[in-house]
Amino acid sequence: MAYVLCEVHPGLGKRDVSVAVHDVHKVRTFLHVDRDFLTRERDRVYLPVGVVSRDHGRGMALIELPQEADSGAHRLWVPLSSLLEANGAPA
Amino acid sequence: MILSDREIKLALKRDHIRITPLPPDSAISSTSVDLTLGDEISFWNAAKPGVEPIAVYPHRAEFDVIRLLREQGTTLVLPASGFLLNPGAFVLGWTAEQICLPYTSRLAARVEGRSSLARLGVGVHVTAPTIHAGFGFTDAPGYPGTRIRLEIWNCGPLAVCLPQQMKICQLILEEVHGTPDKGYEGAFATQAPETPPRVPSAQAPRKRRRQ
Repeated sequence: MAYVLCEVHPGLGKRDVSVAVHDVHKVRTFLHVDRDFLTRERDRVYLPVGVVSRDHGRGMALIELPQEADSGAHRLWVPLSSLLEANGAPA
Repeated sequence: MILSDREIKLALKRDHIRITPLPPDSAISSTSVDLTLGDEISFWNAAKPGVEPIAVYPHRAEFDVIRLLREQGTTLVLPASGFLLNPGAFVLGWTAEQICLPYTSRLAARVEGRSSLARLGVGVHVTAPTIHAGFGFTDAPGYPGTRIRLEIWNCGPLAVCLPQQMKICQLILEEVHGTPDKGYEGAFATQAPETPPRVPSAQAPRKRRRQ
């Protein structure tokens, strides 16, 4: 399991937020999740994701989002630099 | 294969699925678990007569439905007396229960309506019942999972009262054949199942890193 860096935007109620994940083209993909689903590490906020594959040569990883995004995406290519491993180490 | 009540209880006991708060025995039927309605509800504001509806483009990558709902909708805490779902109404709700389906459990689920509500014309999702393996899972020990979003609609002729904690839907658990890629990076992680996209060279790393 890994975590991807995300932006946090207000949700609709007390417990939810909208988060945006940047892909390798710097395009944002939005998801609606519970606030406590997110992890904070060194003043940054991360979303739990699955890693499907890594391309170290190109510095990117294919991740699976925890749920379908507002755009309909399930998987995104993101920069490896935006990933954090479960133990808190950069990917 | 759909899990029976015995298998559901075993899965709960073995932490192969987490449902928080734990449903009482009376909420478990032969092949499903009843879930209840949470305390928040959102809905789109009605279009004003004579005004063109707002066009939306959900296929676009930066589509943000929550921002749109903040601008064009209303969110409220369900009153004690309940929310009256009028004929033709469509609202977004949550389950009161938080759900976690760890990848390694090889379980996925479907959220489905209840026949008692269906007879009144009330549905709880709009063609999106699947709860994928890994839903609500993080590495945080004991994390209870996340709530399930419900798309509730009324195609019947009656106004139906929706109070907090009412039995609103049922969760049907199913075995996943095999283990999803995203749960196990091990053997297949370096096989690159998809060709990575091209990115401008300025964004690509200058040094190759060893795998």
